[in-house]
Amino acid sequence: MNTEQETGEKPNISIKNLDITYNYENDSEEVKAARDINLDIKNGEIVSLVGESGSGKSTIGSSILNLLPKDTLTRGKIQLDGKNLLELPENDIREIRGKDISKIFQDPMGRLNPLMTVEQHFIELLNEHTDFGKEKAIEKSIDALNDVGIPPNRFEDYPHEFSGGMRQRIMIALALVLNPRILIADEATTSLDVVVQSQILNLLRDVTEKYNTSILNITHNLGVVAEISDRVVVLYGGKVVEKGSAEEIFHKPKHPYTKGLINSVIGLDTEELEWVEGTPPDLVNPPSGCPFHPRCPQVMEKCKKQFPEQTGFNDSHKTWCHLYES
Amino acid sequence: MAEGRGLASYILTRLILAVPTVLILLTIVFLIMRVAPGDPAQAMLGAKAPPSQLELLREHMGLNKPLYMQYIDYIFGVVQGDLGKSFQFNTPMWELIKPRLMATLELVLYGFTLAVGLGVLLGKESAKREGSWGDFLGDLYGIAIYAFPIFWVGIMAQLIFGIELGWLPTSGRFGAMAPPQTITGLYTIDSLLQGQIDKFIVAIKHLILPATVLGVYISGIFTRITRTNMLQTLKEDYIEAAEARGIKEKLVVNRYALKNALLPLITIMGLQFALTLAGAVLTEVTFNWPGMADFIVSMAIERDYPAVQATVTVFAILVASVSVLIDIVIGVLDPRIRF
Ligand SMILES: Nc1ncnc2c1ncn2[C@@H]1O[C@H](COP(=O)(O)OP(=O)(O)OP(=O)(O)O)[C@@H](O)[C@H]1O
Ligand code: SF4
Ligand SMILES: [Mg+2]
Repeated sequence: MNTEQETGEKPNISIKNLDITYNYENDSEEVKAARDINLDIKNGEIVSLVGESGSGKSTIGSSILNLLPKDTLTRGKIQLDGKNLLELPENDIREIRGKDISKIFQDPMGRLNPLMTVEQHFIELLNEHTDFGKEKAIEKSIDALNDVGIPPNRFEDYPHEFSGGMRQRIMIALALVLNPRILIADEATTSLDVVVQSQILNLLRDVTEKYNTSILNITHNLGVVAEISDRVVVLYGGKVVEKGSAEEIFHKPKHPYTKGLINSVIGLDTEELEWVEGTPPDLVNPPSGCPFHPRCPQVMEKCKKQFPEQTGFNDSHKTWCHLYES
Repeated sequence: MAEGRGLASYILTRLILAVPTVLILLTIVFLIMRVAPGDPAQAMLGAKAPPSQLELLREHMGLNKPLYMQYIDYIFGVVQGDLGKSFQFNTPMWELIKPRLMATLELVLYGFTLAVGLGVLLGKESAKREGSWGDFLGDLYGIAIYAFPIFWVGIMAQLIFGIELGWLPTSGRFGAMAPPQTITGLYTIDSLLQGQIDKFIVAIKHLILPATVLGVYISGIFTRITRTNMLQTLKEDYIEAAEARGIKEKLVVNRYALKNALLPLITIMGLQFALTLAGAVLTEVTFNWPGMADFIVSMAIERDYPAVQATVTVFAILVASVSVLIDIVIGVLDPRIRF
């Protein structure tokens, strides 16, 4: 992370005490998918959110653009330019979507409207958020496609005429054409084969560097995390258990869960996060105290009763574990 | 450019593929007419007809020839647009059938349009509100309407709007006035083309009850199919992606969900067309509409076999043509199909 000096410490987006509960207003059981999340992302910074399946990564990503199901309770703040995105009326948040904050997804195959050409997708988007004339809109779109390596002669083609990797490039171009402040990438490379995956990651890094866009990178693939992140936030059972620079998380992990993850990758030659023993916690009735205690090899008595306080090792590296409390 | 060529060759393929379909349909029509019990000539002349007369008629109808020759005659006749001659009237069948066909088409055109319009609207609104009261009502409509017997609905409509309120005619296509001069054979269109507003109004007034009964009746199916398809497309990944780009809900619903949901709907519409014809038969009988159904029933009563065969042939070709038309519409709308 060497952009800190240039961009200063002021966060681009700042998540404070975010709680997210699914099924809050219907008959199904409430799912506490995220609890007390705090997270700042600075300009041009790439932050990865990692954790096993069901740890709440996508939930947090979706909450930023207010894309959660209707019956979901969100508490806390997600601040951008002094506005709390969670409290914005639908129309205002819609104006932010695709313009100030964009999102790309896993499985690019089905993300474009099969009945619309690439051009129509771009024109629609630019009509929605700008008052560019048609000529300028086309010029902007071609530039954006050029940035992601899609030649202009493909502009009028339909989605089914592109490969998966190319469709993800188109999605990225759509996400970046309005020069957003933040790009949320939810498993954006997961369904692509390894070569394409690494091309897309390089692309993301280059383009965001060029336009100083921040990325919230959501993934359970540690290889991806290592390749792209400035900082890493580790989630477990809807809680942040450790965060730090990529260097710190990979080389000096502190939390037993993070250690388990990192070791499993090294030991088992896999990049999936399924190798910490035991089952993920129940989010309807989350474990008391530290959510990791039923699986923790170093569990202590107080772990079962009390959620640990934050322990800071330096400005960036923090963990929540009783082992480090003095 | 490449796209245009893809579409053209797609349409050509569809047209070529329609040939065997029509042939199969014609063969079925032919077989059914032959398998029907009894001797057509005998049936037409009655049990007491003298043998010489019987022989003459059989010759006239080509019933003396071996079956395969009859088949070849029939197919070649149809290919040349010759549907044979009516026994009773001794006029080419096509001249008799054409005005009947246009009457049926006019009824079906309005009924079908209403059905699709109503069905798509209700289905879409239902799906948008999945799980709400409005959705429940839409769903109920889709199921309940179809459960009413069309006769009963037709007669109720006649009683209320025709007899009780006296607003609309309850039978026939044009009443006593002379119909507009034939251009297309559709009275509403012909009268407009000739600037005869008074005739247009008469034609529309006669159409309202039967077309509405038919349309509302079939709209139930379209409501259900639209709703189901919309619910499915609303869950597609491209919907979520469009929302994340800040596209307005109205556009997402219409341009993404509805358009994609309409593709399977159009295919099903093609299949439903035969069913609409069946509905039209009932409607025509209820409202004395001088269409194909009315015609085929009276021809059957008169035991005019050539006329019955010709009418069924026209029905078969109509259904096959609609199915080709639907394929072409789908090809125009869906870029993935043109390959
Ligand atoms: N719409 C929903 N209603 C109820 N519970 C949900 C809903 N969406 C997600 N959940 C639950 O919330 C928890 C967090 O899910 P989330 O999708 O955020 O996990 P994730 O970390 O992204 O996992 P993955 O790696 O599998 O994508 C899970 O227990 C999940 O079952
Ligand atoms: S707090 Fe206790 S249970 Fe939780 S990770 Fe630390 S040692 Fe393990
Ligand atoms: Mg996820």
